[in-house]
Amino acid sequence: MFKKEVWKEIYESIKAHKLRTFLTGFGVAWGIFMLVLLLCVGKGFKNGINNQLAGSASNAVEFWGGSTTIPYKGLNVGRSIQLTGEDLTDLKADIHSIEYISPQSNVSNAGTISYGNNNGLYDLSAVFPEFSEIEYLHIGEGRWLDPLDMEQYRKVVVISKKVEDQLFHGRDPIGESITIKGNYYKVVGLIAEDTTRIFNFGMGSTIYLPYSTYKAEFQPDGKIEHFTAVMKDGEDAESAGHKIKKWLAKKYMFDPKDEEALYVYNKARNEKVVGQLFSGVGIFLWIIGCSTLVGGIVGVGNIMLVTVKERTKEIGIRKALGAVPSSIISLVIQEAIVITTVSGFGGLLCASGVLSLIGSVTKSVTYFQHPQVDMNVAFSAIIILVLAGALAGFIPARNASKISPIEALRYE
Amino acid sequence: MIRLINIQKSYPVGKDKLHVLKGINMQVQKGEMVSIMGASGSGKSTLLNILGILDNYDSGEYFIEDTLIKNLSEKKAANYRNRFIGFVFQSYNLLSYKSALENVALPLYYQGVRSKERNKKALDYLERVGIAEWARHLPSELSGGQKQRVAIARALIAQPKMILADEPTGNLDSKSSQDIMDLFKLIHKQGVTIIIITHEKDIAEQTERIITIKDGLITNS
Repeated sequence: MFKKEVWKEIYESIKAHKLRTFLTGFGVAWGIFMLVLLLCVGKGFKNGINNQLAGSASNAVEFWGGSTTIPYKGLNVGRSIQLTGEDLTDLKADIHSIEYISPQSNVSNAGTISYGNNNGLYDLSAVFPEFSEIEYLHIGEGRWLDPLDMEQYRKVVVISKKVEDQLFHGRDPIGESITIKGNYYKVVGLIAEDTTRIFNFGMGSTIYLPYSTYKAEFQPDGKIEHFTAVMKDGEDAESAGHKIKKWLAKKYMFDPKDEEALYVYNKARNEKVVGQLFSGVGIFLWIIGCSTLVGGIVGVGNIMLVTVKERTKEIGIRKALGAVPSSIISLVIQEAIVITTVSGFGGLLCASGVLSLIGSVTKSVTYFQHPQVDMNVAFSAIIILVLAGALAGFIPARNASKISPIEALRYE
Repeated sequence: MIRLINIQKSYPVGKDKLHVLKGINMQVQKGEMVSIMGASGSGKSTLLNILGILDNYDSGEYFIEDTLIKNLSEKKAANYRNRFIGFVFQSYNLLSYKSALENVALPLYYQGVRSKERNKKALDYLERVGIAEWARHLPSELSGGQKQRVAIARALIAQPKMILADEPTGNLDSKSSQDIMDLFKLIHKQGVTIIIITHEKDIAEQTERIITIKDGLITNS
C-alpha cells in the first residue's frame, strides 16, 4: 500500500504546507494527548484505590456495638450492646462461613506510654493473633503476636514505626520493654511503615497487644467496641454478616432489624461499589477523550478537503496523464492517515512524558499510583488514529476522485 | 492512425440541449502533423476533450488505431490517456512543486515504472527538447518557453500514439512560439503524430494540414 513513491508524494504535499499540516496535526496530537492523559490519570487513581483496598482482606464485614432503637420482647430502647472477645470465639465456632475473626479494641485509659525518658500517647489496640489476616500488616522486624501470647496472657506488644521513632530514636526496639500504666511490656515486633496506604486511621501510631492480656490488665469484663470477620472464599459476606448479626441479636436480645443496636459495615459490598464507580469514571473519561479527538479528526478532514480543493488542478493534470481514480483516493487517504498517525504518536509520546513526570512527582501520593501508558491504551490509541485518519480522508478522497479532468484543467 | 466517424455531442442547457458537435468525420494518419482551427464556440474544445479521452460523446465512433474509444470506465480511460495521448496545454499544467525532471517522469509513474529508470528516461527526453540543464529546477524558475518544452517532453515520454497540443503557443511571445513550433516540427520528423488546436493562422499554417471546425462541423480538411 505504501510504496516509496507514495511516501515521496505525501512528503512533498505536506512539505508544501508545513504550517497548515502542523496546525492540523496539532489538533489530533492534542486529542490523543488528552485521551491518553485522561485514561491513564483515571487508571492511576484506580491503581491507588485498589492498592488501598488490597491492604486488608476484602471479603470482610465489620461490626460495632451500638444501642437499641427498637423495643424487643418487652425490653426498652436505649440499651447499649456490649460485645466481648469471647463472643467472637463462639461466633467462629458456630458460624462456619467465618474464616478469621478479631477484635480491634482500643484501651481508652492507657495513658502515657514510655521507654526510658521518652514518652507519648498512643493507641493501644487489643487484637487476636489472626488480626494479621484481616489487616495485612508488614512486620519489619521481630514477629507478630502468636497464639501462645494469647494463651499465656503475655505482656508483649507489636509497635508501629511512629512509636519506634518517638520512643526509641533509632535504637533497636525488639526485646526492649516499654512502660504502660506502670507495667513493662516487651516489644516483640515492629510494623514497617506502609507508605502506600492512606486509610490507616492512625494505624501509624498504634501499639498492638494480645486480647487476653488486654482483658487481664485493662478490661476485666472483656468488652470490645469493634470487630471484623473475614469470610471464607466463596462465602457471601452479606449473608454471613446477617448470620452474625442474628446470632448476636439472639444473645443480646435485640431486634435483628435494629440498625443502631449493632452497626454493620460490609467491606466487600463497598469495594464492589468502588469498582463500579471506577469503571463508570473510566467510560466517562473515554467519552471525553474521544470527543476531544473527534475535534482533531474533523480538523484533519477539513484540511484535507481544502487540500483537495486547492489541488483540483493538480489532480486534473494527474488524471490527464493517466492517474486512475483509485490512485488519487489512496493518495488522499494515505496522506490523512500519515498526518493523523504521526501527530497522534507525537501526542502519545508527550502524554507518556507528562505521565512519567506526574508519576515521579506523585510517587508519595498514595491514592494515585503508576499512571503509566499501558499497552492496552497505547494499542487502542494507535487503532483509533489509523481509523481516524482513514475516516478524515474518506470524504475528501471521494471528492477528489470525482474531479473531472476537463473542469480541473480549466480551474485556475 | 486516428478515425472519427460521425461524432455527435450535446450538452444540456436548462431544458434545452446545446448541440455542440453535429457529426464530425475526420482522420489523421500516422506520423501526420495537423492543426484544428476554429473560433471559440465552434466546438473546438469539445472535440479536443473527446480526442483526449477526457469526455464521452453521444453517438458515432472514435478509433485510435484499432481501439474503439467509447463509454470507457474511468480507470480504462485513464490507462488509454496514459498510453495513447501526450497532452500539451496552453498553460503548461506542470506540477509546481515538482522539478522539471519529476514532471516529465510523471506519466511513467502511472505506468508503474521504477523511479531510477523513470528519471533516466525523463532526463533523456529533457535533452531531446534541449533543456537537460534545467532538469532540477522547479517550473517557477523556468521561462514560458522552457516550461512548454518540459510539457512537451512529458507528453513524449510515454511514447503515445499522438501528441494533443491545445493552444501550445497561446501564452508565449512570438520568438518562443516559433521555437516551440520548430520543436514540434523536429519531433514530427521523428515520426510522431501531432494534433495542434489553435486559433492562430500562422501557427496552423506551419502544419501539414488544417482542419477547420465551424458550428460543430468540419468545413474543410
